[in-house]
Amino acid sequence: MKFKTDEKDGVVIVTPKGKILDGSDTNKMRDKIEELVRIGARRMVIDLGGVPHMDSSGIRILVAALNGLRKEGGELRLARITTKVEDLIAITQLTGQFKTHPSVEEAVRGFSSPN
Amino acid sequence: MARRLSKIPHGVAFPSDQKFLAAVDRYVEQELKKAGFGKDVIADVAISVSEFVNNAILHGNRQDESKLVRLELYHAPGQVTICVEDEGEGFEPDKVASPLEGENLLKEVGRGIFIAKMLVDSVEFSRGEKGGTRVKLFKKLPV
Repeated sequence: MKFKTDEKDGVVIVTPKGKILDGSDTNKMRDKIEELVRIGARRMVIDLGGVPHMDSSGIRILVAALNGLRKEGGELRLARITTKVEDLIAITQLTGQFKTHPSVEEAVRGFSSPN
Repeated sequence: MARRLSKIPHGVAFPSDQKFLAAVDRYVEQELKKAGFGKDVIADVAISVSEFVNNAILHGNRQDESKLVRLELYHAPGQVTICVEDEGEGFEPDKVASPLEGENLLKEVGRGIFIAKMLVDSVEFSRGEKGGTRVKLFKKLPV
């Protein structure tokens, strides 16, 4: 799994690509998100369109990002979530914790709308 | 040079290092594909195996690379059985807290075994030949 980060309209966009399995790449992504929040990111989108599946380390990243942003008064949104990842979030009963959007653009726009 | 999985009868064995997770994942996917399993079943079984292998590396063998994780794979028409065995001190699955209860829901860790169980039809824990944990997981093709 590789990932990149971008910024658009004041929103940080994190884009992982590939199956997320535990290991050094996953730790790097988690550390990067933590660093971004530490230096001021408060609005974040994780674009999951390139992630066909993930193990619990992927859920760990999402929950860590959610908790870290909430703690600082920020917000996380997920974009382009794939079926298997959506299933995993449902299995772990976290569906209600994440706002999801069919595209990155809609997720970014979501920060300026009430819902 | 990347280290490789060592072939054993019906499976592979490898040192306790998370670097092998991706190779194990590819191995399971390839074997199940060759056996004719569908994409969805392969994805679920591969993730379940990945969780148990990771557990064996981190908690069973405590990342001691002198200890091996063994993975055996048996398939028959319409079903697959996979065993993951470590060389650790053993494991008490009943002592694992539910990740769905109370404040556990938003904890970062503690979901691996829960997810692994949910993605297959059955999971059995026993002691391995060297005293470690042996996990046997079973999955049937959906009818």
